[in-house]
Amino acid sequence: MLLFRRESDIDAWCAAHGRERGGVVPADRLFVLAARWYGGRLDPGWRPRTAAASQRLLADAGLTGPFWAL
Amino acid sequence: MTERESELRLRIMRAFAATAAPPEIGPADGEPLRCLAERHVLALGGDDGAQILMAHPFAAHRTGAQVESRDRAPGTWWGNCAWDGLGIVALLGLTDATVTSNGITLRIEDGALRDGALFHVAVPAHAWWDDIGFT
Repeated sequence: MLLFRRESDIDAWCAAHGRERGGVVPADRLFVLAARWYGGRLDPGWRPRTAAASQRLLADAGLTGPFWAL
Repeated sequence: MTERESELRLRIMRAFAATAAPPEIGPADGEPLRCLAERHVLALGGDDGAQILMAHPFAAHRTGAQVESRDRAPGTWWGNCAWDGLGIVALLGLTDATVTSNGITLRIEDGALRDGALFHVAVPAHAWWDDIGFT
């Protein structure tokens, strides 16, 4: 999982590493997702989420389809 | 998750938050540590496979995303990637910070992300834990 400035940089990285283009998330949306994904982990009562709950968080971030299926 | 696993998990998370590194792990922690890894609550590695590499969003290694902030000590933390770096910012409630990953820096000021960038996920979600270090 890497950061890039431009779409063309992603394409260049994929070509250089012989990989198909994966999923792309704008940083502002990633920030919101990261806050929800990792929220509460310093709380004593934190428990692991179910896969379904994680899938909902991805979907709420607009990340749907086979690539994002857990 | 058992009470021992829960207590160990919290000790690990608090150590990462306070020191950017995992705590000392004793022989009695071995079983709950392995159980936490099996549940993907943390990732183990090292030569003996018993070293804490990650307790998301924190990472013990120094090759992923670096978080810098003057909001609280120690002022520098590490995550495996930018997703985790931004997660550290949110988890610790940092309002002014930077997250640097593979040469790109994202600034967070007054709690808001100030820079645009694109986060490329090369591995499909179902395979993220096949090689979590690469993911």
